[in-house]
Amino acid sequence: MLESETEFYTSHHDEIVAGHIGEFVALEGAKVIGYFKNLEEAGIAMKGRVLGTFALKRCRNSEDEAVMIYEWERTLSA
Amino acid sequence: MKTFTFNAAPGARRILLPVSIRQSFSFFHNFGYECSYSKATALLDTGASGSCISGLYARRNKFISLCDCEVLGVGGKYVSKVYYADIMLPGDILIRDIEVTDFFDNGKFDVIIGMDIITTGDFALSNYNDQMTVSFRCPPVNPPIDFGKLALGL
Repeated sequence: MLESETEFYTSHHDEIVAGHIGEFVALEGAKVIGYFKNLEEAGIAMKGRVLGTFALKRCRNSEDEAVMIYEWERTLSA
Repeated sequence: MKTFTFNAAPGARRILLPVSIRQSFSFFHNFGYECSYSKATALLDTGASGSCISGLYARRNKFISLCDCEVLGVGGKYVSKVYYADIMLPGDILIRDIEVTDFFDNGKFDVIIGMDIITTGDFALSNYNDQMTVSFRCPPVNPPIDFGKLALGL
């Protein structure tokens, strides 16, 4: 699901986010549908489309794209 | 300003909070979703740059993913679904339209509250008499919490 949009976003990242950092971008296949300042604006604009047929991503610089989670658990066993 | 103070269970080594979570109302109500809150147990985790929801919890509550992203965890990288959510912390502190990625279920907590949420306020952790107490206020207040100055009565 949304593989083509993810692939398009990843391979064209720099040009897609240029001038739009912090905004949301809606993608359908290999096409940018639009940029939105917030989720509310995106929801209004995308109303009537079918969820799952488009991707909605926040535009970030490359170094901020990945989320990091480091939760360590120590297990003491006999 | 809104606040909460929460006493963890005696001997706790994790900060687990009762929260409520729903899909982002501001987006999903446009698609006919009711977006009602569900209760969840959340880990407060300063080691997480972003907030997360367990994959099982997301499926049970029919969260809809709108994109994917890469997550770097203890076990390495994985591709995660991304959801947009509203999270209600104790004290009626509402964090709206937050991006959450998913993590593998561990049966201990449903949500990870990461630094994207923690940095919206001030956070203090006390452990007098082995009783862990967490206190949070939102938005942040000047001056910053400074235990050194408090010890000097400043």
